[in-house]
Amino acid sequence: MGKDLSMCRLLDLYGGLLTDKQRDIMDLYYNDDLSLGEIADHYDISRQGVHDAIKRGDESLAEYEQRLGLLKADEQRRDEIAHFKELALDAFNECNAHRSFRSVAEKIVTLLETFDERLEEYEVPSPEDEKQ
Amino acid sequence: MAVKIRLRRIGAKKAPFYRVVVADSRYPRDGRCIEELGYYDPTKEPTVFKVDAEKAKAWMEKGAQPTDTVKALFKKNNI
Repeated sequence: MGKDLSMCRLLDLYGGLLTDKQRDIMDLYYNDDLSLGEIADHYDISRQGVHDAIKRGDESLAEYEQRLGLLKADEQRRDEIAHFKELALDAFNECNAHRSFRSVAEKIVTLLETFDERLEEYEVPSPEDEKQ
Repeated sequence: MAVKIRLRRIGAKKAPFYRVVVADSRYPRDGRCIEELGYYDPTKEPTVFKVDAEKAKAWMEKGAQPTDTVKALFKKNNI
């Protein structure tokens, strides 16, 4: 059984809907990369029990995503913002070329900054930044 | 057999990002690790996997067990 790491994004979004214990088990499995056997030792339950809990959790998460679609909506939102940013950039370049439109160009800069901030939320911090 | 090579998630919500660490399997949660070998970023396309191959080999010779996920990543990246 291979680990599907895309599952951990669903766990971020819908983890709160699972029971505490189930979420803990799935957190250990996906986020800390423990094996089924290790989790079983940790909780004093059988390997099979852990496997079942994770499988049930996977199914729940997949169903939540199917019904609520937050992950998909989130990705769409990011693409949209990126698209808006492109449009704004075009507008900025056009306005900047004409002296009479300079004041509009300045306003577009504010807009671009806002889009950048929104897009930053989706960025993965680089490993150098993460060094503690 | 207590030492393992595994992934550990850091990174923010929505943005999973893993460190490849050597850690004691008995204390999975306390955050201590013996050594950091590199990192794995599944969000990029293609995914980025960077580890110190020499160190990883040295640890495995000493008996450190990579988890299945890490093993698969090693294999995919020819380590």
